[in-house]
Amino acid sequence: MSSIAEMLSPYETVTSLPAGTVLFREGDEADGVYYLHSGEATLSFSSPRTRQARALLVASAGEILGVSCAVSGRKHDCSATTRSACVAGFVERDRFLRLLDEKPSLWLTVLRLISTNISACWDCIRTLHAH
Amino acid sequence: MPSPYNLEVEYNCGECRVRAERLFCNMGEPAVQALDAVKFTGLYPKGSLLFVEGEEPRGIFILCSGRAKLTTSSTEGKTLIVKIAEPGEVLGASATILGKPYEVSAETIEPSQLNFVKRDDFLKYLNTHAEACLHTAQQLSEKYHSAQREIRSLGLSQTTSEKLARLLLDWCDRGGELTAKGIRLKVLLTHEEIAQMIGTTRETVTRLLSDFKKKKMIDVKGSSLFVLSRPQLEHLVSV
Repeated sequence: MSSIAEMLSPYETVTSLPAGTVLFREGDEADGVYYLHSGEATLSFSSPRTRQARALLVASAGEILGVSCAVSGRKHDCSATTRSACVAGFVERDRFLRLLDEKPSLWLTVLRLISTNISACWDCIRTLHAH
Repeated sequence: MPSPYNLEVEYNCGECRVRAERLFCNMGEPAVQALDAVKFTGLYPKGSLLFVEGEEPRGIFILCSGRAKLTTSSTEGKTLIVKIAEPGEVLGASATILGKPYEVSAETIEPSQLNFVKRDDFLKYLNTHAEACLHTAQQLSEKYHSAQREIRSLGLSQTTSEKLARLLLDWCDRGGELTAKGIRLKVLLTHEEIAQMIGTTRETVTRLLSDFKKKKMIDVKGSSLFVLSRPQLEHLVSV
């Protein structure tokens, strides 16, 4: 994970954010990736009909949000909101994709990141089924 | 020429006629030739276990034809179906990449052709073909979004009838065939397996489907399920 964080650092815009800041909203176009230097963010899902939202996953410091959408070009399936004061670095999608072109060795790290996210989702599914 | 399970078998990825339609396989010639060199083609009957949750990752399976169910165990030990994999999907990729045990089990639900790539060969392949990395990332992204859809459904649905309605609507969107009678769904799952998809019992699924039939929302003919009134199903999905 650290290798990708190091690679992103020259291109990221780092900002201190108070709790409750929306990083991206469900349905937004993938505009880039967010590296959480510190703090935590919740990932919430909302109903398209009632707009009722429920936070179901938590991302912690060291995680990179939005990678899957940045790679696939899909819109965000969930909203990310800081749940505590955070320091987050943002790298635009085009810059992120160019970086992968320039440094193909980063691809494996990206694949591991998405695989880890899938793993977290399955943990969440197992828990939700139990309730 | 006769083939096992009456499958139309394609042994050479370079000559595969549906390659361009497949998210992972739709790569340039060099990447496809390299894949051909490391993959093993296998034909599997319905009910074949490809890998089991908790098993060390041996490699990936590319589902060329057929379908497979991916299952896991809930924290209470119940079997849950987390996904029905369709042709073109890569199975076991995240465990193979992370080098961690498979987190789900995969079992064919109809006769299937799968191409297997051993873990070491797959990692070497990724290291030498950036295009394959991109296509693997897209494939993993699909899995991630599918898992998020499942979380949304489980986390936001209030009742079992809502979960079943949501599942049927999802099937309509992803493989429903519009007919004069309604939207036709080819259902290869038993009521027990549908129950494992929405976290309920077989009896409840049977009762709810019967209830939906009485209300003329669906009809069932053999392995075909017709959605007669999509708006009624959508009305059930309250969230």
